[in-house]
Amino acid sequence: MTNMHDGLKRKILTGVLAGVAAMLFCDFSHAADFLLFPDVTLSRGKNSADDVTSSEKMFSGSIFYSGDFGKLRTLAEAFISKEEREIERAQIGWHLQPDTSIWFGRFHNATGMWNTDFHHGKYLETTAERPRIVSFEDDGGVLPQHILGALLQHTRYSGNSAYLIDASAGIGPVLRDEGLKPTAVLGKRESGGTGITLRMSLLPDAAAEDKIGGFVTRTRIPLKASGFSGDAIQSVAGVYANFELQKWNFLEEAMYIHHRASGGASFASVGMWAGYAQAAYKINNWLSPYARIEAATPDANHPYLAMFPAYTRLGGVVGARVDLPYRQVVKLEYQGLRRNDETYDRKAVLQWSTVLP
Amino acid sequence: MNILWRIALMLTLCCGVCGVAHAGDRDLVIVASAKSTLPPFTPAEVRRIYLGIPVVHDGRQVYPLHNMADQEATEIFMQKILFMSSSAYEKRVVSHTFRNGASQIVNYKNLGSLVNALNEEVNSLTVMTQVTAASVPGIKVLGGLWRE
Repeated sequence: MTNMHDGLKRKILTGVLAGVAAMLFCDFSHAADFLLFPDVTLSRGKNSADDVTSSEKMFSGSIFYSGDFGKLRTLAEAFISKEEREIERAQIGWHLQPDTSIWFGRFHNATGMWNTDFHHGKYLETTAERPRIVSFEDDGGVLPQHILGALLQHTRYSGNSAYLIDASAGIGPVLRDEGLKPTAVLGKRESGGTGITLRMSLLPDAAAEDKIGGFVTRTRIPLKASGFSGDAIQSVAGVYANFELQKWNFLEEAMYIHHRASGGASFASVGMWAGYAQAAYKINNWLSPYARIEAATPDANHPYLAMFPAYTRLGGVVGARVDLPYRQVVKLEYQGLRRNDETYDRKAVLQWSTVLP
Repeated sequence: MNILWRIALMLTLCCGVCGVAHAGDRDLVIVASAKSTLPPFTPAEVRRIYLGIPVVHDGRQVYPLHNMADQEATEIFMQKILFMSSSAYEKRVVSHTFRNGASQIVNYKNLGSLVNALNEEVNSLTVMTQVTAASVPGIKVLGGLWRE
């Protein structure tokens, strides 16, 4: 099975790279967008386990490119920080119709809304950090957020409203001692298991940002952490809503996550609920205070879920977003989180972000 | 009629005529290449096109060109058609591009470049004041968009 996945990954990557090369050599006059999302985050806080206050300074950025070559569209996003340099998205898409596209490559999994609406762009997020429930794999997340494979996107317009469908199939992450490891585009690639996702969204007004939707996803996660063998089958079903009510913006996601052992793994099946509710109030064009509650019900004694100690059981975030001229944003935030390992994180965050050009 | 009354009446008429002309100066129209076969779009359709939602005519997608050559017309277009500030619109376009790929919405700060782009892609359109549209050769007005 592993060899089959390695072969499939090689074929997908070869196809993507060959497509990019062919387009670059065939057509130099194409519509393209370059975007740069730099951010600086200063944080100061402590964990209840050692009770030592620590400060952190982090510079990071996301580089985004997308170009059209007739009906072909390319898209790439790279994330760079002191600890990490990774190609997060690398996709080639074909416009079957103006409202239907099929993509190949590495993309963000449609597990809810946050992962595909904000990607790695801090500037676009209302808050300084993601909800822990939808954390990326390398930040201690439990959901497969990156998939290497194929993604079909279709939008159906009906009057003023629109329905969006995302369906994907591909290769997800493996579980290592440090958590989930997604399949990389370049360098050492993990031999992840197969994952499929289906998401449907309704936009009451196609030209607005309000939307409600639901998703289901199932991923086989090979267990390559110490003391494990076989696979975990993760099944997730969730709903989400984003809507504006005069000066208020509400963003909510809730999901049920189930894990069962497969292929020689030996742990009891376990399910948990997870979700968050976020509200922001736009006082004027530049100032928006916000608050968020996060909650999950993981069994900390379960051998699989214990691999995610930083996962939040209960948390609260309060802060304010200040939109400055020239597309600059400053966020000041306070977080109080009870983790899966029964310790507490308290942290104050000051973040600057922008988008260029 | 007293001469003073006649002068007052003429001044009033002149002011009225000038006032009407100034009011019409800011009317917005939808413009395309003179060779274009695009129909007149409604304000709601124009809003969708400028927010990146695909609108198809004769099997081909319609492309919006963002006219930034006239600052006042741009502001009116934002407030009266898109119902948002310029900064909010910029954020929407960035967000849309980041999610879906190339935005297809190109900004033009020069009127000549804008007209050239309209003539290169007959399925493209833009928005400008009626007065500007009347003075530019090689383009045609598809329809009115907003009246003062």
